[in-house]
Amino acid sequence: MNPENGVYVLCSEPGSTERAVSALLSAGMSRSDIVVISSVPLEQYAQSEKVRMPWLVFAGAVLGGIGGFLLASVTQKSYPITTGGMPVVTLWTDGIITYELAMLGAILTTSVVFLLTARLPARNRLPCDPQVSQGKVMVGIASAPDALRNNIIERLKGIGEIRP
Amino acid sequence: MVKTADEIQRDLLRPVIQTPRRAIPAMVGLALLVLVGFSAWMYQVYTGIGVAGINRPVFWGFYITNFVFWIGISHAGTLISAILRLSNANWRRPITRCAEVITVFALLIGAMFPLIHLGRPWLAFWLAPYPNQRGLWPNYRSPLLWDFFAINTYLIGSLIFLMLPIIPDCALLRDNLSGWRSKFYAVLCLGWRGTQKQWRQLEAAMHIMAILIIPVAVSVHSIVSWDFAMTPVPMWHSTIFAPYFVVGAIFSGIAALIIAMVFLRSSLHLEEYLNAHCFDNLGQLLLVMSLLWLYFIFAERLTTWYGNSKSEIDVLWLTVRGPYRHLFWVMVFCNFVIPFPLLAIKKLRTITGTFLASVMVVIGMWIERYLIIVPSLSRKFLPYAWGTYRPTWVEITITGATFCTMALLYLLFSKLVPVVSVWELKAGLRE
Repeated sequence: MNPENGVYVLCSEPGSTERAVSALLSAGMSRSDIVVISSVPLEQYAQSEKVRMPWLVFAGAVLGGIGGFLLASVTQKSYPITTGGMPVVTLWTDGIITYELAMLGAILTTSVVFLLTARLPARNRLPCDPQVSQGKVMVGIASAPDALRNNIIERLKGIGEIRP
Repeated sequence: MVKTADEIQRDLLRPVIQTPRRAIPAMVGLALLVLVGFSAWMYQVYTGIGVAGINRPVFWGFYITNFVFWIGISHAGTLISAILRLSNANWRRPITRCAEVITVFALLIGAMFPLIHLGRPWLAFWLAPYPNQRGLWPNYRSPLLWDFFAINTYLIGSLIFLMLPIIPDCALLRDNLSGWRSKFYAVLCLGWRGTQKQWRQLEAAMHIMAILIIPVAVSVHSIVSWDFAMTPVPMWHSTIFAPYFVVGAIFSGIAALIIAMVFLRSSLHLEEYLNAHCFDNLGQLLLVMSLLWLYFIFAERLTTWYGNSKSEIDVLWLTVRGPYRHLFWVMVFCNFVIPFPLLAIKKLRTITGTFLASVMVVIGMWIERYLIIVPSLSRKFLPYAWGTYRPTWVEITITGATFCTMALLYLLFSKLVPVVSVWELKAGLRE
């Protein structure tokens, strides 16, 4: 995939975004190849792929909890204090450490998964146009096949300003 | 009048792009006051903890009061931002970032106090879990160690919860500024472009964080309350402490948020965003919390009075009739008697009314933390161990400096990042 083959159109009207997406679909591009860049979320153009984040967060919580329990219980056994016959490893109190580290595991997993799935920090594969922050929407293909490039540009002409 | 997306963006980016004339002297003035507080702390470190008023039997005074108070203030962000995000309340949009910022800064300030409170803070690293020749290891049975884990988890979580929605606004600033400032925000936004995949992942992450941060916030103040409730000190050893502290924290947090919003509104000219509707809704929340607070105070004291245990009743009368009675009744007036009519009567529940009520609540809740801690310690079981506590200028100076620190941090933040989330307001327009 060659990022220098990207073709984008800057849409300034609400209807032109939909026309641009339709034009790219009719040019033979698949939905997953079409990139829509905006300054606010546009749910109607979001891909319908499953968000796996919750399961990964749950896994992070489990790992964090196990780590917390081991930290508390193993170190309590390794450095036992005089308890006068009371338990050295106390499940009530270790439960609090387990809970807190489980939550910390979940929180850190959420942020790591977000960064990875959103591909941040980005390597600037995609264009950055200040006009997007003015409310325009950029629609296009990150890497158009050479054979279809001219066809795509033709279809996008008239919809908005082309960004090669 | 409904604003357009362009107008929203212009209004909310203006405080970042342009510096109001009063901002610089305000920052300098606040920084000087913070420096005074820091100098007082350094004087204490150099001279010794004896310059503070804490001594046998009242070993916990102003510093622990401030610790509990500021951790309580941090609950503003969680309630307003997380709960209202999950319930999809549209009126939250202008105020979520204000609330999330309070959480992070209040936690940072509150977390400093265990260090300030230490007699030898340069030995604080002894608390870290590393193999050592002293044969010591952190005691996981201690509520003070639970505090360490809970507060750090909440701080990291709140920081992430604050930073996630800031990313798109940093991208906005990258595109609207030039020179070194644009490069600065380009780094902060991590190369954000605004593809629909990125938006989807961001919203999923924010939703999950909102769900996670609520139980963490509840656990944090429950654990702080257990610093007291796990001890057999009269009027501390109570099962009601955890929910009582959580309710008090949310109560003081909302009040602090309202105060912050009033100052932001007038200094940054955000009257159309932090409008009367927001204050009305927050005022109603504050009213509910005031009633809940009254319920918990009543339940706690009724139980103590009815049980008639000698040591507990002594402490109860100390606060209601004894030397702490003035503070007690000021607390009741500040937390309920004055705020209740200001918040319950719609005509009085204006921006000024909610601001006055909030100031009263912040004062009242600080006094409440003081009255939980000091009277109980001054009058425990054995008469030979009874004593008094009088704060010194060092403690008072450091306490005052923390309020200045909060104001300074807030001012600096409002210069770096839009204090009202631009993309969320624009997204709200679309909805």
